[in-house]
Amino acid sequence: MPSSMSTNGPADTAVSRRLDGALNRLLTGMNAIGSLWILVLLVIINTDSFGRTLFNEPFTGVAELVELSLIAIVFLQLGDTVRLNRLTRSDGLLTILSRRRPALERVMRICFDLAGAVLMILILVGAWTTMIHAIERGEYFGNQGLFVVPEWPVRVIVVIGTAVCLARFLLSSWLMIRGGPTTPAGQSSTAGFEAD
Amino acid sequence: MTPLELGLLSLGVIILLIYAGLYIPVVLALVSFISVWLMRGNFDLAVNLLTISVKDTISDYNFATVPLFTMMGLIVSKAGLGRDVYEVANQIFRAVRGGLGIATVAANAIFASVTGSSIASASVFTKVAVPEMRRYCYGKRFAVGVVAGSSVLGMLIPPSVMLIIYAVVAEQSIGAMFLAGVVPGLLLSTAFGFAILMMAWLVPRFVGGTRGGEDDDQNAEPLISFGEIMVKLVPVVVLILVVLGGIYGGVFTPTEAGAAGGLMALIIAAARRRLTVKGVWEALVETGHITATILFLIIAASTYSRMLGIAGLPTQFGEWMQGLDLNLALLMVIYVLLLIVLGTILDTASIILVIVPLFLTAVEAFGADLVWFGIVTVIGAEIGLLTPPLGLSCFVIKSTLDDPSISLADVFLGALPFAAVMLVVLVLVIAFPQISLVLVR
Repeated sequence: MPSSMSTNGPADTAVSRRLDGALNRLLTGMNAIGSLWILVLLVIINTDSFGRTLFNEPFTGVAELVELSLIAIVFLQLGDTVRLNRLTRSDGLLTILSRRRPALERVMRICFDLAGAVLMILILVGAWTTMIHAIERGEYFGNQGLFVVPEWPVRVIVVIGTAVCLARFLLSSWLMIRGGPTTPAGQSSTAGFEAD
Repeated sequence: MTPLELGLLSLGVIILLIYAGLYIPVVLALVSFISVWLMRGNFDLAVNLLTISVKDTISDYNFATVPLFTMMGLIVSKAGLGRDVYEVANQIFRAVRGGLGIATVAANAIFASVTGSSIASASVFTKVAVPEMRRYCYGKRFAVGVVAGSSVLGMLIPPSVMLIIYAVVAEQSIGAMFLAGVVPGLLLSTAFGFAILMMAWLVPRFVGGTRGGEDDDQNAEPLISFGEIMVKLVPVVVLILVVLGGIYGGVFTPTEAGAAGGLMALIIAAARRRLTVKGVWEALVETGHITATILFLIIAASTYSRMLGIAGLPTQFGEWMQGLDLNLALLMVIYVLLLIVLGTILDTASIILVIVPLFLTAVEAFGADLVWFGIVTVIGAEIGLLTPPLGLSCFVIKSTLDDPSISLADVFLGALPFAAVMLVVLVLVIAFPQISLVLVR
């Protein structure tokens, strides 16, 4: 998205553009880990069900691993969905305004990204406490003696995932305030909107 | 303000902000947060509500079905299973007037049982079926309308992620919801087929197309051999057997069926040499985006339904409905109208998550079956996918279409008769609950 912006802008724009690029690389990387994790999920569930059905040997703790994985996958991917403007929204009005009242559309989009940032701060408050508790008390998923997974890694992922979403929302609204484009280049917000 | 008034006010604000274009999960979570904060006058409590939603909502084994079935659908799309099924259906219906339209419906119905996505179906069949229909001089509005209309079968015929979301929200079994979608899905496909025959007879200019017959170049094309038909259909049959057979044969939980289906889809794609590492990777990344979008929406919606509960809105709403001396039929009329209106600005998942928690208590109080209610909800919400101003299926078709002569308005106009057929089927499903419950109860 920086490509469509003026290249000889003020110095702070250059800095925020570099930040933008770095953040997007981080988000794409987290997305890649999350995508691989889905494949892992597929493998462990199959191992469990085939092991149980064919060899009467279930894979202990699959339910716990799956539950933790789901949270991890969502928070690894969330930043990238924000980056690509794929977070569910109904943008009919914004599309109309972009033709008739582009200034109003810009202000609204800035406010909406800031609202997203506020939500991420609120989530971060709770997620941070949850993470600290999980680390200090050594909390785990599963039944002691049978199968136990430590809880903290997933809580760390939630904190990181929320923090990058916060960064993405803040940076996007800053770039829009500085006159950048209001939608990421080449992305349609309706593609895959509700594919299930 | 009483909690009830605050709750009602929040509902209004939520609809307003969604319409304005704020991200739907942000609307649901943020408004619910502020609402609970004001109701209880306690900031920490409101933060806690959000924390619990993030921590506990999606930590549920059943939600693994969302990425697994999504991935299975994307892989089979990439493996070209949609095109295969369409070619076979074409052969069967080629002699009928409007046959390519009926073939599109039939292929969609079959394809729907190996994917679960209206949007995936819409994009696959826009690429496969629209050029074919145009080649045989079918009307452009009809061609895109058939694709839009029949794409909704993806949500109704199992596996369907929308049925999964409803099952979790309404605390019903995923297996029961899947089963309940089968007969209404087949009924809708048949109704679409009949509607196409009727249209070909009554408004031939809208349908267009060359008439089947001896001298027709369409019939002059070589037939696909029986062997080829088998090659094209066997993968689909195997997938249906593994996934649905696995669930109802008692071998798999829905989650395990999703994992087995995903694996099977990979094997089929590899066996047909239609699988590249790049293709798998694209499917995985897309799965990740869809999963994150849907599950984050579900997290936000759980904050919202907790807020409604704290405000006491669902209970009040139920008592109010009963106090009005409404019968269930009238309640359903109001409900369907609301679904259709919401369907014009929201996607199906958001509609289910916003409206179901509000109506569930009331509908239960009338003694209605919640499995049936889920099917009504999904069909009703899907009608909105076909109607302006924001019918999503129509937008997907327009953006997938490689034909500037077909405008978005053409897609909406073409889809209109199919939306009407859906409404008729919805009325039948409401009037005769057996249609959805016959396989379940």
